[in-house]
Amino acid sequence: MERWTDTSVCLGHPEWPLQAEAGALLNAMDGAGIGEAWIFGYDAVATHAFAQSNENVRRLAAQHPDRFVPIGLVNPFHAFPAVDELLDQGFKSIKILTGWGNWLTIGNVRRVVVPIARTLQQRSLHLSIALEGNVPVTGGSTFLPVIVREACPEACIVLDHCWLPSAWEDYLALAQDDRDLWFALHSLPQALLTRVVRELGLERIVLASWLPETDPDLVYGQLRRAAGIGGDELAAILRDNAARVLRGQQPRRPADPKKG
Amino acid sequence: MIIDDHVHVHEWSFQAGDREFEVDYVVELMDEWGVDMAVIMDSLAYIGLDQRASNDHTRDAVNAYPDRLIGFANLKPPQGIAACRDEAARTVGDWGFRGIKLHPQVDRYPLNDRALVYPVIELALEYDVPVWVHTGHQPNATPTLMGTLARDFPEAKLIIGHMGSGMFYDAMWVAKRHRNVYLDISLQGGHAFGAACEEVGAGKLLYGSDAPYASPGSMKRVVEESALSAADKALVLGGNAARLLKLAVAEAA
Repeated sequence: MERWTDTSVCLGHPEWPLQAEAGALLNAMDGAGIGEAWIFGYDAVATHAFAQSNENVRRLAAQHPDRFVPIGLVNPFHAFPAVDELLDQGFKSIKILTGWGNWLTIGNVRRVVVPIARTLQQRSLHLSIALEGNVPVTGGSTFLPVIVREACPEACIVLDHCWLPSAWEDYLALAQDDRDLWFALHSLPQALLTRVVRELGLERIVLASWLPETDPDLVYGQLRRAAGIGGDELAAILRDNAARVLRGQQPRRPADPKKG
Repeated sequence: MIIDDHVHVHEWSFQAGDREFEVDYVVELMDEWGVDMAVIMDSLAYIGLDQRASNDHTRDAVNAYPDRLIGFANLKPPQGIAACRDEAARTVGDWGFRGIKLHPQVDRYPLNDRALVYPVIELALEYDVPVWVHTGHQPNATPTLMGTLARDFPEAKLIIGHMGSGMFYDAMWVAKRHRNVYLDISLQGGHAFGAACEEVGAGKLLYGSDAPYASPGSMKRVVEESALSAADKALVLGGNAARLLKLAVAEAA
């Protein structure tokens, strides 16, 4: 069985709380061949108790250091010193939730997201930006990573939760302009996913099922079809990509396959 | 000189007796709100009719009010580049229309489609006229895709219609990054307009109303009541459009 690294898994979930408990997640991970999951306390979007959710994540990752990588969430209105504290505790990234609260303005991107990106970059860590949910992001699909990139040209940035199929024309256009962006892929219509993989290249992709929001088997099966290679080979490539992201590195360029 | 860069006329009506898309009524609206000139685009093209019939109607409207109305040609790239080339020759070349209008949402093509759209941008370059593009709908009609066009055609004059609608921040960043991109502010509100003034600058903003779908007064008032200087308000309300459209009033100013 393949051994996947899944870069977005929810510990706690407002809509599927039972499936997002630690035991259920471990069972699901074993069933789907997920060796390592990057986990965040998604119940905070409902409880707004970010500190408690992050603490749940920290404890679980400490109990299973070989299975979970802790990812922090913060209330954008109170991002600091929470970001520094989380990173001091061993969290490996901060995930920006664009869909939570009503905070996403240009000013707040500059006041909140850019300083977070800089802090992560200083520690050789990556910034994860969770974009559209079932509705588009207010103001557009691309301005947030563009503003962060302008301010932090060397930052390691992952675009995650790009759920809306209709937004992918914009993401692919953005990907042409910013070749250092990583993309976390999940389930999409197969024809679109195949096109996305072809245009991005496997070098820029990590997996993100958002378990329990989608079935990891479905995501992995779709990606195997899109990539047109065997599961073991694909899982190895994507594990390697995920390891680069964890080190805060940019994607490999096709021309220098062994660099880094 | 107040110039509205986005006004519609057409021959059909939503119910019998409606006058709201008749050219006489549109000019009455302009008078009511103190708009001197308006760029008009016939809307027949949006309900699937031929681009020629649509542009014929725009020509009739302009001929009725030649000192008040400026024609833009509706072009439909899916009808083929040969048809678009003929239509550009007729409307821009022969009749003096001053721009091209594209609507990728209703005509169902991606704005960055190299085969369909790039030849039309080349036509605009050939005639040295701006291209006004409806934006606000994924996947085909977005400001981000306008950025791709702006990158690949740095000499083309591109107008992001409705400033991206809900994608207004994307539109601002495309206009910031590309010197050849302008923002039509029709159907926006005070927050987005204020942010655009701050981020993009008044020199790239074009007052538009989308009349008669919206009142010419709504965005005009937003501009007039904004914190911009009088000189910058004059740019947004007409100076920028006059320059872009190479109107005689721009040369006189």
